[in-house]
Amino acid sequence: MPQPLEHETALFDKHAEEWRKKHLGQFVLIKGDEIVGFYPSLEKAFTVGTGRFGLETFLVRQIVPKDVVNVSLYGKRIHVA
Amino acid sequence: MSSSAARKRRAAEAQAARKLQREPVVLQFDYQPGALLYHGPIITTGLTITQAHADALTAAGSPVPPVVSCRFLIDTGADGCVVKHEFAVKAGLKLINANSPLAGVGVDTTGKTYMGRVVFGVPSKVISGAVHSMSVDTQVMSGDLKTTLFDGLIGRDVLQHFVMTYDGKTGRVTMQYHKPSP
Repeated sequence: MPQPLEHETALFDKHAEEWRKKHLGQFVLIKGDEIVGFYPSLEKAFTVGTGRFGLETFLVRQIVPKDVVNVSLYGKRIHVA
Repeated sequence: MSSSAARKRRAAEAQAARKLQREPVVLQFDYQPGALLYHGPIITTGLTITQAHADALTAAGSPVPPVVSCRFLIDTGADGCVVKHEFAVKAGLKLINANSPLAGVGVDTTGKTYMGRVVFGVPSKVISGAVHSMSVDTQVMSGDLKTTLFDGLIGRDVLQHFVMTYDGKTGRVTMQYHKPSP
């Protein structure tokens, strides 16, 4: 059984390199096979997606230089040798 | 009510609204300095869905989930927000990415990103009973945070809307909200 957004994620991965050259920093909205558009903000992409697709699933993802998107350092102690 | 009384009431309401608009909105948290050193600034605030999502639920005749109270660690080392998976589900957040890698210490991510809203409330000091309500719509990753001290992290995506001060000596942390331009 396919996972939610599996198809959209595959489409994103297929185009990611190309989009990094043209749309770096923007948010892409994808539904099924359709690349709906590129938006300057998360809120804009989400609002367009919700307006068009309502409660159906759709992918919104920022086009970033690499695929690691968050670094958090919390913990009681970080030891440095 | 006479028209004169109604006019006075409207004028008083308008004056109160102006006072509220001018009032700086500052969240203030006071900790024992030792606790702040050890745990970091942990605040309790609300997590919910965005207005666009709520509108879509209402249009579909579905109930809008209530705001979920979360204990967040203010984490200037995180570029985005993270919550324990059950809180994202409980708040009814909308899944927008099912494959989002996350690197960090103490975070085991589910790889899922949701669209959510972090809400804050600050009682006014100039108008009794009034509360300043602010919210930040942002993407929220879900993960397995291996702690019982807090339920999530607030990252720089939310902090960009605030001026934050951290006084390690007194234990006071403040967050002043950048009001949007009228």
